[in-house]
Amino acid sequence: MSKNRFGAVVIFGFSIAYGMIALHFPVPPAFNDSASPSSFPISLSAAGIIVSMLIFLLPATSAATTPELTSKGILRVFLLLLLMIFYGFVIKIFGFFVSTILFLSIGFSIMGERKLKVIFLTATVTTIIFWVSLTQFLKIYLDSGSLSKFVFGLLNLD
Amino acid sequence: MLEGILTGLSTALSLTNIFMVSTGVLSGTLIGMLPGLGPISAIALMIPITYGFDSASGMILMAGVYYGAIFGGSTSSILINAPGVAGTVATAFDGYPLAKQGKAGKALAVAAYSSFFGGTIGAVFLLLGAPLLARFSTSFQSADYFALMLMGLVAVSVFTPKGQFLKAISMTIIGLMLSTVGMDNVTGTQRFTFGQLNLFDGISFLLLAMATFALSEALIITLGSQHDNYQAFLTSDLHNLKVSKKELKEIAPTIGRSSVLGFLIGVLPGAGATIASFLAYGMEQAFSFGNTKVKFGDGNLKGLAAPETANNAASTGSFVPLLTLGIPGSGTTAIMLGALISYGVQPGPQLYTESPEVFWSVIISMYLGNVVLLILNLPLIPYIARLISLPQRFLIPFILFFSLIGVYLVSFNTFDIYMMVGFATIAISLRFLEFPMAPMLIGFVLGNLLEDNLRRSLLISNGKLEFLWERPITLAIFSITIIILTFPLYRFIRSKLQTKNNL
Repeated sequence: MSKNRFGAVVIFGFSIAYGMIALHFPVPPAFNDSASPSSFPISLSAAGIIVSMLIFLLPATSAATTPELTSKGILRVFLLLLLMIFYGFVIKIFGFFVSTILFLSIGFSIMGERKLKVIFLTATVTTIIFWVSLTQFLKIYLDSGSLSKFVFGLLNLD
Repeated sequence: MLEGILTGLSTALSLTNIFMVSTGVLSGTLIGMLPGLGPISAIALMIPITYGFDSASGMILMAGVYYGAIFGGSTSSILINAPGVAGTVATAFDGYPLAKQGKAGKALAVAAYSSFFGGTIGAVFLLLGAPLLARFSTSFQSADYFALMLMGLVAVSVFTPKGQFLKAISMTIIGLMLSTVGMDNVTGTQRFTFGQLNLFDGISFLLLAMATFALSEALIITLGSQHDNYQAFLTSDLHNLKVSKKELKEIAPTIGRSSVLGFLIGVLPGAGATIASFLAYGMEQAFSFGNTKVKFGDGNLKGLAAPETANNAASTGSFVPLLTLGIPGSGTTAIMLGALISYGVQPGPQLYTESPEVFWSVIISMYLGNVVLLILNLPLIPYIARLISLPQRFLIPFILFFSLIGVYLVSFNTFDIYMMVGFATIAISLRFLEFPMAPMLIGFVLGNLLEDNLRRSLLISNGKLEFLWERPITLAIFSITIIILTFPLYRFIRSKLQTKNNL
């Protein structure tokens, strides 16, 4: 299947699912059909279905170019996506400072940097610069994370 | 009008705001120069930084970022033949050959002068044209707005490269669909929230823009092979920014022609900088009648000046529909609209009539961005350009971090980070299937406005579709939309006939 047709099938499926959900919105009694919350989404869904069918049926004349895929590239992107989820997960626990150093260090090593000293120094220095400019100049409050609060809470048992 | 301009001037020319615009221009150039990252990503990355600022300063900073990013895109086009955006593709035609000949400094200077004059002439037109259109548009009703937005959305898709029309339309529809997520303004019904508290307010514009542009662009760079065009950049003389009087004289008529053409095309919704730059390049080729000393494509200065002038004039021109009608004509103006709304400025006809000082300060700060670009950026360019050689292994994690933290610092909600990863994954896949992203962003920005105006018109006309042809203005706009729609059909039939004739 060509890229176009594959994309068309994806959009077709999405439009159907979207329309099905929109059909079941509750309509408050005071509103007539034309202004109901589902009418706009349903027409969008219909438009999506028609356009995706046209893409599927009409011959493709594509000239756009995308970079060639390499297995190394795919692996890196996959790992970076996981790393971002990991960042979302740890930022609440370890706080901005530690999680950002972790994120950047792991990011540099995924991207192929091997010198540990370079990785750690670059990550730490940039995190410090960021932390200072965010908290001191832009006056943004940065949470120190639940773990440090827990640890400091234990130390301050009085 | 004069009073408005003076107020705008006094706001824009304060010391803080000059500092803002300079910072904006510099950071815009830095981001725009990174291969793969265009003005949309540059502006998206800068929005979170300006959240704490007052609206005037924020806007002025953004104006700087906007011009800086466009110029940064030209820089990477000229130096390493890697245009960050489609609007600077034509710049590389003659710019990169110049860099290969060791005249990168001259090429950058010509690009900067052309951009400056294109922007200046564009700004003068904007100054004259915008109030006229704003006054005219105050008589618009919701049906006309609905028709206008529909026209804008159709035009954006029609003017995409050949063979992309239907895909662009489908992405516009996806953008519109995403805009319906969240609580319905009129009835209070939850739509597509699946009971998720995090989705009640809808999807944030910044989040979507960051995920589908900054994040996915950075990840796409990781997927592909690295650029190996650094040779010209490393051997070229960047410090020699001199352009002789003779050369200036040679490109002056080109700049004049291209800025008028660029501005007019920029005003049309959807056409924008890319088409303007290609058309201007084509026009210069036609005007030269083949008798030039240096061939087009071999480093002709006119060939560099034309697209650079036109894309800047068009970028300025695209502010006419944005400021007077509140309708963005391109992905870049869509994100500028997002930024303006985040500062509490809602572009549209009311902006001109109700708060003229804001209207004028936007226009004047846009122009200030242009001036600062020339006097501050150009001399610094040999040093800034070193950033291009920053290794990707450091660059990519930084871009990912900026994008994530930019969105996270607004909401402090980790759900946003997960949602960004999801959108970025989908965006990369769609980019691979060669589906364009900018129409999706424009659809998303216009979605709520389009639905509101449609509902209002339907309520007024008792649920009948008569509002589409009742008023002459609505009818006229609809007719234009239909004419625009026939353009891809015409292109399709013509290419069919051509292949038949060739057989």
